[in-house]
Amino acid sequence: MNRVPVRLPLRALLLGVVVSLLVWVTVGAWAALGAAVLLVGNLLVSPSRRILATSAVMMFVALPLVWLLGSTLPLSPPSPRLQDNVAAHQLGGLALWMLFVASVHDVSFLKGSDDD
Amino acid sequence: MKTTRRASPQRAVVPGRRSWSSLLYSGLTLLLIVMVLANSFGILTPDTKPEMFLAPARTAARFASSWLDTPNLGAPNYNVGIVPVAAVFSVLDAVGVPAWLIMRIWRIVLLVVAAWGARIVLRELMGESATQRAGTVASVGAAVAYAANPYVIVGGATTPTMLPYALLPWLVVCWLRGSRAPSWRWAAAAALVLAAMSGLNAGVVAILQLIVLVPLVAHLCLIEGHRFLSVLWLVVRTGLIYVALSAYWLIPAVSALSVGESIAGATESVGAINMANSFPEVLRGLGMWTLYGAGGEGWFDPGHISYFLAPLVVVLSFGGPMLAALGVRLSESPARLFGSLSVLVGGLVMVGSFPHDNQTPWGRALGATIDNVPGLIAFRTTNKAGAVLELGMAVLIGLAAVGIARWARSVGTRLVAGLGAAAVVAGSVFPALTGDLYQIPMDLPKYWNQTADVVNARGADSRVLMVPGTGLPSYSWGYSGPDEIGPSLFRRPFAFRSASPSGGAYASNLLAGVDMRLHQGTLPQGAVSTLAAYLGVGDIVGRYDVRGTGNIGARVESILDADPGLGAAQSFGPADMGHGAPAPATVRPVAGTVPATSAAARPASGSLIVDGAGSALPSLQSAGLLTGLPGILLAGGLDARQLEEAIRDEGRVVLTDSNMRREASNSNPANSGALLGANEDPVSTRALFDTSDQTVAVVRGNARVTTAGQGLLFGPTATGGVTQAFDGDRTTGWQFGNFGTGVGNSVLVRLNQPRELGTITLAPMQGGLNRITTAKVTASIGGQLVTKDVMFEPWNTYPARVDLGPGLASAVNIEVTGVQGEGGGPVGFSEITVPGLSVRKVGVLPRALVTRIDEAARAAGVDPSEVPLDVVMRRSTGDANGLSTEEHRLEREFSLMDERQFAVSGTVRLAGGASDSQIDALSGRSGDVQAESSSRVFNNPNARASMAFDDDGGEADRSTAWVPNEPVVGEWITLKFPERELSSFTVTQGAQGGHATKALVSVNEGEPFEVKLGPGTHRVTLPKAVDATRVRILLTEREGSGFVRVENIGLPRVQESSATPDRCAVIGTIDGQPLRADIGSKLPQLLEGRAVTFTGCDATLRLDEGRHDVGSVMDFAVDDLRLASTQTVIPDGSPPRVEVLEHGSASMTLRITGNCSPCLVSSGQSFDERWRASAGGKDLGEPLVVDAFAAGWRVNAVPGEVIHITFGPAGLALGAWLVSAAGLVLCLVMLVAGVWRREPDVHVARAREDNAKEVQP
Repeated sequence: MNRVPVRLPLRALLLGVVVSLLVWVTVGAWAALGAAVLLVGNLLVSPSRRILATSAVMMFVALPLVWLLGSTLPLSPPSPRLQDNVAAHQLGGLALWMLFVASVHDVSFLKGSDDD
Repeated sequence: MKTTRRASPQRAVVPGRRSWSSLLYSGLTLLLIVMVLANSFGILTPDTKPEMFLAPARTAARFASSWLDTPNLGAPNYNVGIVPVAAVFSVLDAVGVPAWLIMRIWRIVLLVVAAWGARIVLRELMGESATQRAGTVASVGAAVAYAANPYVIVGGATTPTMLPYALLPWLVVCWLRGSRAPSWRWAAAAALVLAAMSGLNAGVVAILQLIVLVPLVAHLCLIEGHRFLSVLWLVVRTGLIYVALSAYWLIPAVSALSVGESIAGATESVGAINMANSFPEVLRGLGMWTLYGAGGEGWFDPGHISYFLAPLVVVLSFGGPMLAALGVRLSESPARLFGSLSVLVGGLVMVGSFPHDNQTPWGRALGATIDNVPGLIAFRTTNKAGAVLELGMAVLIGLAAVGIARWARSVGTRLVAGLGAAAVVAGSVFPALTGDLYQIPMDLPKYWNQTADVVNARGADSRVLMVPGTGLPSYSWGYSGPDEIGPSLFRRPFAFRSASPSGGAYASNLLAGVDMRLHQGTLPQGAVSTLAAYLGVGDIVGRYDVRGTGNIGARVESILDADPGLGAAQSFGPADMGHGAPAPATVRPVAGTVPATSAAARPASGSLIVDGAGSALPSLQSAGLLTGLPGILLAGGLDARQLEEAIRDEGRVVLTDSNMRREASNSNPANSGALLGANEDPVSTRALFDTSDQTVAVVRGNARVTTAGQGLLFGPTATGGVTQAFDGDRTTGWQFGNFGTGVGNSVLVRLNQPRELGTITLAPMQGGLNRITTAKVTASIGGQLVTKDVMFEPWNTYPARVDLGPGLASAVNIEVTGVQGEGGGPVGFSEITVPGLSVRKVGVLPRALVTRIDEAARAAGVDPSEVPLDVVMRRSTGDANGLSTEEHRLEREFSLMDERQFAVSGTVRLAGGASDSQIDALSGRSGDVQAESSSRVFNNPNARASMAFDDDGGEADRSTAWVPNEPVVGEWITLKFPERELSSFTVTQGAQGGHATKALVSVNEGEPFEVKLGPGTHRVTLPKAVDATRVRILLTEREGSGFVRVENIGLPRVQESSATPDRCAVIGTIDGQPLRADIGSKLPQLLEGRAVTFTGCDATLRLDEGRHDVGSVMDFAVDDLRLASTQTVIPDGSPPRVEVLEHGSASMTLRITGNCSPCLVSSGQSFDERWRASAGGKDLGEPLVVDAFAAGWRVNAVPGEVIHITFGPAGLALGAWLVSAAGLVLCLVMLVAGVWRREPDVHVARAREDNAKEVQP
C-alpha cells in the first residue's frame, strides 16, 4: 500500500482552464466565463472558505428564480419558454459543473494502490 | 477541509437506532403504498404495453419468439426482453390478481427496491461513518430522494425505465463490493442485476445507465485507491456474463435492428426530444419531451403540467438540487465525488443536444454520434439516463441530511428542517398528491371485452384485422399510447394499419394503400374483403372510439356494409361513441370459409406481375384483376430469373402508378405528401424500391417553377401544389402560409427561353379567414431587375394585374409581403397567369419493368407481344367528394415495349373547374340563354348559375339555387339572352341562412348601379328601361350564417334542349388525341358531383411502342383509367390448397393439396429475406415477395408434399435462450456456492485493517 495524499493547488490554474473549456463545450460561453471567474476567485480567496461549494449552493438557490423570471414568455406553452430562457440554462449548467469541481477540489484522493 | 479515507463499511449496529430507523422506513413504505394505490384506485394504468398486464402469459409466450405475428403482418422481434417481466406478471395473473393491482404491486416493489438500493449505495460510499447516527439520517435522505422525485413521476414512470432505475443502485453496490473483494462471484452478481434490468425496448435504458461507470470508477480509483485495471477487469467479467445472461434478447434484438431503427426513425424526432431538456429541467428530474408537448386535444401529459405551470411547485421541485448542493457544501464525505460526478455525467447526457437550434459542441457531437452510428438512434431519448443523475442526487441529498441534522439541534430547527424536507418531497411528487400520478388510465369499456369474446370464440389462427388505421391511438374512454389494444384483447394474430411504418416496407405499403382510401371513403366495393383474403383474415373489427376522427365511423361502416365478401355486422357499445358508426366496435366475419391461418397457396399461372406496390390493391380490385385471388408479384422485387418464371407461368403484367414517391405521414393515417420528383428525397416514405420502379413527378412545360418559404406547416400535405396556380383552373391553387406564416413565401418562375411578358395576373385565394394583402413581383428583364409592389382586394374575383413593361424576361419572382386575418388556415394563389407560360405536373409511371420484359419473355420462350399487359392508373382524389384533392385531373406518362391494343374503362367525374355553361351544355341545356357564375359552393355542379334561371312546370324552381362559394362577397352571376326590353327584374334568395344584402348590377356591360337585396324576393329596378342582352350581378355585401342561396332571378329561363345529349364525351386525351367515354346514362350522378364508371366509346385503343401521355380536359376529372389487354389467361387445373400441420410465430409446416405445379406458397408473414423454406427436405432458396407483402416461394410440388417454413434467425434465437438459461444456472451456482462456503474474504479483511490504520478522525 502506498497512499500519499495528492494536493491540487498547484494545478488549480490548469484545472481552471480545462474546466472553463469543458463548460464552454457543454454549456456555453456565458457559463464558461462564470466558471473562469469563480475559479480565479477561488484562487484568490482562502481555500478554507470553500468558495466553489458555496457558489454552487447559491446558484442552485437562484435557479428557480431565474427559471421563473428569466424569460419574457408566459409559463405556457413551456417549450418555447424553456428554449428562450438562456440564463436559466447557462446558470444550471454552470451550477452543475461547479458542484462537481467543488467536490473535486474539496476531496482528497489516494494514489493507486497495488493490492488489488 | 480535506479527508483521506478508504471506504469499507462496518456493520456494527446500535439496537435502539435500528428500531427507530425501522419504524421510519416502515412508515415511509406504508406512505408509498398508499400513494401508489390511492391514485386512480381500481383503474388499470399501464406503464408499458397494456397486454403485459391484461394478458401477461399470452404476451410472454408471444414475445419469446424471434418473429412477432402481432400486431402487424409480422416483423422481427426486438423486444424479447419483455418475456421475464411478463412472466412475473403472469404468475400474479394466475393467482387472480387483477391487472390494475399487478401494475401497482409492481410499481411498489420497484420503488422500494430503488429506495433500499440508494440507501445501501450511500452507506457503501460513506464508509464507517454510515454506521453512526449520521449514517442513518443520510440513508433515509437518500432513500426518499431516490424514490420520491419528479423523475419517477414523469420520465422514469414506465417499466422499461423504472426497472433499470430501481436496480441501478444494486449494480453499483455489486461493483463497489466486487472491487474491494475481486471475484467472479461479484461479477456474476453484478451481471445478474444488470440482466434483471431486462431487455425491454432492447435494453436501451440499462445500457444507457452504464455511464454510471464514470463516477463509479472515479470513486474506486481516486477515493478507495483501487487500480483502474482491476476495476476494469471486474466490469469486463460482468459484461461477459451479462452477454450470456441476456443472449435470449440480445440475439433477436440484433437480428431485428432494422425494424427498431425504422420505428425509431419514424417516431419522435431529435428536435422534438430536445425541445425542453435544459439544465434546470434535467437537474430537477424533468426534461422528458412528452411533458411539455401539446396537440389539438391539449397537453400530452395533462396530469403533470403543474411542474411548469404552478410556480410554487416549480420552486419546490428545485429543492432536491438545492439540497444536493448543500450536501457538497456541508459534508466532508468522500462520497461527494461519486454523487457530484453522477449528477454531472447524468445531467450532461440528459441535456443531449439542447438547445436544439443552437447546439453546443457537446450537443453536436452527441447528435452526430446518435445519427451516424448504426443502432444508436435507439438512444436518442437521452432523458433515460436519469437514474444516474438521481442516484448522484440521492447520495448528495443524503449527505446534506447529515449536515442539516447536525445544524438542527433544537426542536424548533428540527421542525423547520422536517417541514422543509416534507415540502420539497411534496413539491417533487406533487401530481401524486392530486391524484395524477399516472399518465395513462385504461378503463377498458365492457363493449371491448364483448367484442373480444366474439372474436376469440372463433377458432383457428386466422388474423383479426382492425380498421380504420390510426396514428397514435387516443381512445375517447381515456387510453392513449403507442400500443394498440388488439394484442390485449384477441388471442388470434392481430393486424392494423399504423401510420408509423411497422411490419416491413411491403406490408406498410399495402396496408397504407388500402387504409388511406378507407379513410377517404374512396375504397371500391369489395376491397376490404379482398385484402382480408390475401392476408388470411377471419374477422374485421371496426374501431371507432378514437378521438378526433370526425365521422370516420359512418364512412368506414358504409364501405364495410357494401362489401359482399363480409358477413353481417355485430355491434358493441353505445352509438354516440361511434363517430357516425352504429357502435364504437363492430365485428364482421369474412364470408365463406374462414381461413385456418394466414399461410396460403395460389396458382402460379396467371399471377399478376405488378409494376408498382401493394397499394395498387384497391385499383386492381376495382379493375376486376383480382377475381379468383391470383398471386400478386411485385416487379421491382423480382430478379431476372423470377421475372422469367413469372412470364413463363403466363403472368399478367400490370403497369400501375401505385408506387408513388411521396412523403408519408407518421402520425396521420389519412395524410401524405405530394408526389415527388426522382431527385427529391422524402424523409419518410412508403414507396418501395428505387426511382426506376416508382411513379415520380415531372413538371412539363416551358419554365421551371420553384417555391421558397415555409409552405404549409404541420405536413406532409399533398394538396395545394404550386403548379396548380398555373393550370388555368380557378378552383385549384397553390396554398401556403397556414398559422400566419404567409409572408415570405414566394414562387420563382424561370423561363426556358426569355420572352416578353407584358402584364401578368395574380389571383389570390381570399375565401378563408386569412387573405393576402400585398406582394412584391420582381422580374429579370433584359438583365435588369424590375420590381413592382402589388396590393390585393379582399375579393376572389378581382385579380391584380402587374405590368412588367417591354423587354425579354427570363425569370419572375412573386413574394408575399403582407397577409391579414386571425385564422389558422392557409392563403394562396388560385391562378398566376404569365403570358405564354405552360407548366404541367405529370406522374410518370415506372420504366424499369418495360425495359426488362422483352428479355425475360424471350428467355422464357414466350413471344413478348403475347404477354398480357394492362395499365391501371388512379388520380389522387383525396376524399370521396374530391374536395381535398392533390391532383385535380389525371396527368400521367407511361411506356410500352411494343404496340398494344386496349379496351378502355374507368371512373370519371365532372371537374371542379368545369364552367357552368359547359355543364349546362352537357346536361342538354344549351340554347340562346346562357348562365355563368364566378363560383359554385364546393364546386357542386348542381349549385351552378342556371339553377337560378330554371323552372318547374313554368314556375320558378326554388328547390334549386345558385350557391356561390365563400366568402360570397365579390362573387358574380351573369346571364346572356336574346335582346329584350328590360326595366326591372326580381332576385329571390332563401328565407333562411345567409343572404346577400347589396349588389352591383350591370346591364350590357354598362355602368354598374347598386341595389339592395335580402332574404326572399326583391325587385331590382333599372335606372331606365333598356334593350338588354346581358345582366351581371356582383354581390358586394352579405349577412347571416350559412350558404347564400340565389333561388331565382326573374330573367329569361335557361331552357332544356329537346335534343338528346351525346352519350360520348371527351373526358381526356391520350397522346393528344381525344379519349371518348360513354357517360350518357350516368348524367344525373355526374351532376350530383359523383364519380361514375365509363367505357371507351371506341372498341379498342391502339398504342405504339414508346412513351405515352395521358392528358386532361377542363370539364372532366378521370379518377381511374384502365387500359385492359385483350389477351386473357385462364388458370388450369384445380387450385392449390395448403393444409396446416404445424403453425407457430416463426415457423410452420404445410401440406400441399391440389395442383401445385407450379404454385406460389405464401408464409402469410411480412417479407423478410431471412425466411427459409424446404419441400421434401430440399431448400427452396431465397423468398420472394408474394401477395405484395409476404415471404413466399414458387414451388413445384405434388399433392401431399410437406413444406417446412421457418424464420432463419429462429434457430439462433432458440440457442440464445439455452445460453441464457445455462448462464443463469451458472450464476446462481456461483452465488449459492459462495454463500455456502462462507470463505473468509481476505480482501475485505485486509481492507478493514488498512482502514483502521488510515482513517483520520
